[in-house]
Amino acid sequence: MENCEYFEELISAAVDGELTDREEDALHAHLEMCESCRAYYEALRAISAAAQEDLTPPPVDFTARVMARVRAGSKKKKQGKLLRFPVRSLALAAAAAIVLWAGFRVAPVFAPKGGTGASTPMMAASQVERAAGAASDEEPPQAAEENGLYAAAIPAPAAAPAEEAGDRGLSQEIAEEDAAAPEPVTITVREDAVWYNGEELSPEELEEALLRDGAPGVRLVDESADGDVYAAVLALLERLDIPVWEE
Amino acid sequence: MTREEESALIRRVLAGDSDAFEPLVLENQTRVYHLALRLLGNEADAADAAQDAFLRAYTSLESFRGDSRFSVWLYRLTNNICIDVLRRRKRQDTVPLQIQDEEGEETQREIPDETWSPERLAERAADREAVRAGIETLSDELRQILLLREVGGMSYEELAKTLSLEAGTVKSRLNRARKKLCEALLQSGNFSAPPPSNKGKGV
Repeated sequence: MENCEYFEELISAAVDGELTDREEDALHAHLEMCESCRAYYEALRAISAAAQEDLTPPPVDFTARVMARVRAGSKKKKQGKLLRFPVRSLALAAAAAIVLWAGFRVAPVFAPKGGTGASTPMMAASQVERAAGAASDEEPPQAAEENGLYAAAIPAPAAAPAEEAGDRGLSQEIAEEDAAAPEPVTITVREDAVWYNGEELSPEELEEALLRDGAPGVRLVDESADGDVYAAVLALLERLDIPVWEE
Repeated sequence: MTREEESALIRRVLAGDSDAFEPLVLENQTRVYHLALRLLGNEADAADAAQDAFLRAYTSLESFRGDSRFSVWLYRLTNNICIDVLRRRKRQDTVPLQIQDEEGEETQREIPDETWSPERLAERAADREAVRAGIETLSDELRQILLLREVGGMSYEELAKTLSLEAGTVKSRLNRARKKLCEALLQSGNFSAPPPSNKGKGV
């Protein structure tokens, strides 16, 4: 029976109720004469029934646990409005956040001494380009300037005034922190990954990194479109009890 | 729950009534959890993933457009979360699991002429335990599509969208998953080998 392979595929689709009328007729004709395919059909129907009936219920407290998190989250959600950036400037906001962080890493804002201070803005500028490019191919730097975020990002590493609107939270924190104290980190949320201080991590790796570094707080940048990953990061931060620095 | 009841609840949640989310959890939790359990293979991970799925659904409910069923949207979220977990596990494994890619996955076992020998196959296919164990032997990719279909009840169109596949690929991949499963069932039968007598089926 040479075309059994073709009919096996039809059999599978028949079990799912996805056959056209014509396919159904052809299959019936074939099943009349092919015992092996009849057996396959019966098997697939039985398997399908077994797989559909055999459901394992969740743990007894599952609903309660979900709802507890939901209720806790809904309070946070109301306060958290400021955390969201306007859609158009998401890519830029992400880039700005990364640059800010990179700048601080190389030379803390309030100690711009010697060669490091001079090299930082250049490095930051090239990173903003790369980060913005990676984040959105469609958003040219000009658009960034119109949004005002690009401009805010550049001066920050080089002894920028801490009052500058866009970077207030982070630079003030840094300024006020003891040099040895743990520093806040920047998390940038994308569709399928998160950036943690400029390093791309899976959500699970993020948890490890947060636990490892013991950050006192997080600056959160949302660059994802549907909010799924963002919500997961929020939930994670909540679970680890790490505060989000608000703007 | 009718579709109207469902969207009424969703509207209430969006209006700020988080309690209205509870019936939506109750309605869908068994399948969401079961899907996660069969994808991830252990209860702790499954409970975490299922919970994550509901929390994501809750926080991004605004982005749910009523053009698909709410349950399908949930299964999609669950699937994505589970795939992340599976990927992460793979990365952690220093010894790669047997990597079966889509095409190179041909059987070494030639199942002879009696391939779908009616009695054997029917008997094995009706055995839930065996089916469950058989599903576990499938590659992630095949298990995923089979579960989204059988547990999630997704149509081919919904599967194509969820998995970013062509309609034809959905069809052939599902058949491949089932064929593999049948082969696994027949093979597992060889080990537990209950003689094909009319011995009553316990359990």
